[in-house]
Amino acid sequence: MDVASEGSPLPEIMQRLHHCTAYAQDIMYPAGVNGSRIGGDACAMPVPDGFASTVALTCSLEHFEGDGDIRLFQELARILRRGGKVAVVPLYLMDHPAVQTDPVYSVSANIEFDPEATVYCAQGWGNRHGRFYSPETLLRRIFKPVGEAFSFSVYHLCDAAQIDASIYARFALLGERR
Amino acid sequence: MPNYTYQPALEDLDHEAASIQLRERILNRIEPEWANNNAPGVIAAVMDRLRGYGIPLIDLEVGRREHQQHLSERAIANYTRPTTQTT
Repeated sequence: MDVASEGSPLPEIMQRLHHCTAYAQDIMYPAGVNGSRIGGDACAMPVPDGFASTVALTCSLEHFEGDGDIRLFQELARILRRGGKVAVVPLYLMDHPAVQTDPVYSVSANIEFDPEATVYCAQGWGNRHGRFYSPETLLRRIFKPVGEAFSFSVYHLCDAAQIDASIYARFALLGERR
Repeated sequence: MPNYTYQPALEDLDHEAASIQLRERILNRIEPEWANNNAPGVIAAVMDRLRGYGIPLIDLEVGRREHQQHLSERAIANYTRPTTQTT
């Protein structure tokens, strides 16, 4: 399942590579399960416990506002079967908690930012919320609340520029359902 | 991908006005620049602190692995984006 998939080709690529059943989830889709699309809130998905073996979040976790990221991982603990995995790429990390925003989008939506975060103003970015975790907020928001359900590893993508110089992913997160 | 339902059209809004409104709402918290987690020392500092907390941290040579994954390369190269997408 590709969470917050919007128009991503990832589900189809995975289907071709691994001959799996792939679902795309997004709040922008019609509510409910419609074919391979799952619409509605990612934090309360209309699927049974243990529905998924693998979940991907590509360029998506950073956009979960408020406590949405915390609630998302609690939901992933429910929908992932034992031994299942969730991968987050990129995992945005920084030496202090931060949120990046394009004010053109966030002001009109009256977005609330994490109280401890430095807010960076990104003109022309076109998104209203992108969270960068510090190691401490990653622990507090993601690892500790679901620590009994997941074992986590952080990957440092040390030579991503060999694929293309434009690649900005520096870290990835892998969580395995216990 | 964004997890929300509404975005105003960029051309309909004024960036400078929005920036001022944002500053007024969150005084002393806004930096007039993009976040840069690539700044010198940031990645090393992050990795040191992750290790300090005992978090498993693994170097992944994605470049080399990518070159070895011919199947992945073919699948992505052959992928044709559907014309019915809304974004």
